[in-house]
Amino acid sequence: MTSTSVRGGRRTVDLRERPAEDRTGRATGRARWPAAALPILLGLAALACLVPAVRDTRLDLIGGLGLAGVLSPWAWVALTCAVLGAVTEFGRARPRSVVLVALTGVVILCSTGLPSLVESAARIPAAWTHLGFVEAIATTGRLPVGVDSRFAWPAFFAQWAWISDAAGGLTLDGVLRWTPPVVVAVWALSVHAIARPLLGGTRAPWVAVWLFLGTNWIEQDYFSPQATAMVLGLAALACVLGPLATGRGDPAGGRWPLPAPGSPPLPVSRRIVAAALMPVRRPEGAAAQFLLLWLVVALCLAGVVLSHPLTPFALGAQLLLLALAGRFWGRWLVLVLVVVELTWFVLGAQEFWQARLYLVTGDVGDVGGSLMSALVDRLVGDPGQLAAKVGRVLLAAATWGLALVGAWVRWRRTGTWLVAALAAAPLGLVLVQSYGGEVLLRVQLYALPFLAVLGAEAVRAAGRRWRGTPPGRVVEVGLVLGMLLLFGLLVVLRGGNDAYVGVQARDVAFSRSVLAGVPPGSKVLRLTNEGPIRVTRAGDVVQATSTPGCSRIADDPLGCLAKERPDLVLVQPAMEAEGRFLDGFAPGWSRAMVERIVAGGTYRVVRDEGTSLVLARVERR
Amino acid sequence: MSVVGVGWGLFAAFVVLLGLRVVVTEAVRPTYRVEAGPRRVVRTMDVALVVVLVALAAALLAVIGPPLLAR
Repeated sequence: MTSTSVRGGRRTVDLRERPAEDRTGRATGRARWPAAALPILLGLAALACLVPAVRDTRLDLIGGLGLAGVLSPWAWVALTCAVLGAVTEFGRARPRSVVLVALTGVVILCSTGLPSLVESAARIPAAWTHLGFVEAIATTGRLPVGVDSRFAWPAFFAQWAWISDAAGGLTLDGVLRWTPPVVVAVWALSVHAIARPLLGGTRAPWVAVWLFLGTNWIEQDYFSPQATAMVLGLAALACVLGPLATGRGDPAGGRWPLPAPGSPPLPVSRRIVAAALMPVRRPEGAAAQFLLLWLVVALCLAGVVLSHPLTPFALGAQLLLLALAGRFWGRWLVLVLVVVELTWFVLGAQEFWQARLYLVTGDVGDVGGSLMSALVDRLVGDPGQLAAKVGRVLLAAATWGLALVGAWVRWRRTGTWLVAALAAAPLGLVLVQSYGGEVLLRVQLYALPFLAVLGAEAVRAAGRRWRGTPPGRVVEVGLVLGMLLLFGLLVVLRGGNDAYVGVQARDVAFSRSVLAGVPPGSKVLRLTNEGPIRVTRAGDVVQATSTPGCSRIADDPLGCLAKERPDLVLVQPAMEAEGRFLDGFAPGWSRAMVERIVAGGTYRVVRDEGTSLVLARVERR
Repeated sequence: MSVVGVGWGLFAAFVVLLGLRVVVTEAVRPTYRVEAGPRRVVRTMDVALVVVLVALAAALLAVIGPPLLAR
């Protein structure tokens, strides 16, 4: 079938063959069923391929390249089918939202969700630490004092303690395991809600969602306060950029206020004040609707403040920019965030700043130190580790590069840099914090929704530029290849550390059984900080080092054990793997180190299960 | 009563006052800008909000100021 259209006063005829379509955009006639069913069949094929993928993945052979090196070929087939299904639906005359949502879910399961499928327990040691914190609150009904600074932002732990308690002491191991794909799916929905008003159209928001998913190698979506804070922050941004979105009533239409023609330019500070004081136009809607939205946003902001120390600052910077640009109705919400943050930090988190204020003030202005600890110090490990880490840096650079192109395209289209400024706003965190060497990861996380929007803007411009260019379906082919490359890379990069951040169910059981048998007030440490750490009894058993220079016992085993004097020392397979693949130690180094410690005469092996063992301090009389 | 308790009280007052102001200006009397009575009520609320905010800032400074200076 051919179609005829009128462009620039000239009648043009599209000679490409397309199936006939009815008013709803569905294909009619013979082509109807295969065309409509193909994306769904591809999605089902992807799900079916996951069964042999789980069966054939050999985690016991995992090396420096991580999960990708041992994944079954079926996992790659599943990912390919999922991506092809999503792109096929995307290419239909009128993509069905429900099918796109379902296929995006399948893509998430076949990429971000692969470790949850093939590994026997949740990965990332910090997730198990958080579970230990939840258990500590659930068993005592109170916040442990003097145990860990993370208890100063307890909303996430208290929330799960309440859920666990309400469910009759529900064990959360399964929740931990499936948190990453579920959290990423919720983030993806929020990114779609943010991208739709910013980009318009039907397809571009989905491109933004897939860019967000494909470039999210950051792995902050595990069972953690920051994952929940990000959910709440994105929900607030979705409300602000969606139903609360507005502009100024002036001809500038919500842009940075400009001086009157012929007037001398004002200083930046005066322009900021002018922007803050200029009223915004009330958007269409009922008062009850706005009140409800404001309540939701205010609760989300309060939840963010009580859950995580860093997220409120990134979110606050983004909200402040939107308020100055006059882009949402209810700008006093920024004041709410500031007051709640200050009040909670000073009054609620007293225990934190009374003991550890240096953590907040120590890095202020040390941009070089923050970048060094966040980037250079992390580029270590065997060739597989280095490949994954360099890959992450390159993907992050490519994300920002594509976003820059998108920002330029958007400026040409709308005349504003606002979305680019929203993406850049979290960069300010580098000026004040190293955040334990993770500040760049967090900046990338907070910027990613807006980087994805800008990337989608660039992709859309490219699609329009090359649509109809020989050899025909260049845009569609480019999209398929780009998606396959991006999500394949995502699996490699996210699973790159799995040799030592992966946790097996038997290791969790071993940790729990050891910790269950020690009296309250005992001190139980580990050779390194990998494996299921502080998985239980976080409140009444000391499980962290306190001596400077001894954050990792393995760095100076005899010296640190003499200073720390733990009752027990745990050695587990993840620690052996960390030494081998990250620190370049020889295979069997942990066993050799245990023999050295035992030879010192202060500790002896009291439990040996091959790859896991326990050392106990020898009591001298 | 400790300074921390006063701080929490002022924070609660801020939340209640701000909530009232938002409800009054958005739902109850959205025409408050042109009606003298409601405008006076809203202005009074604004003054009260500023006073509460200043008092809250003072309370927060009283809590965190001495340890900061001692450092």
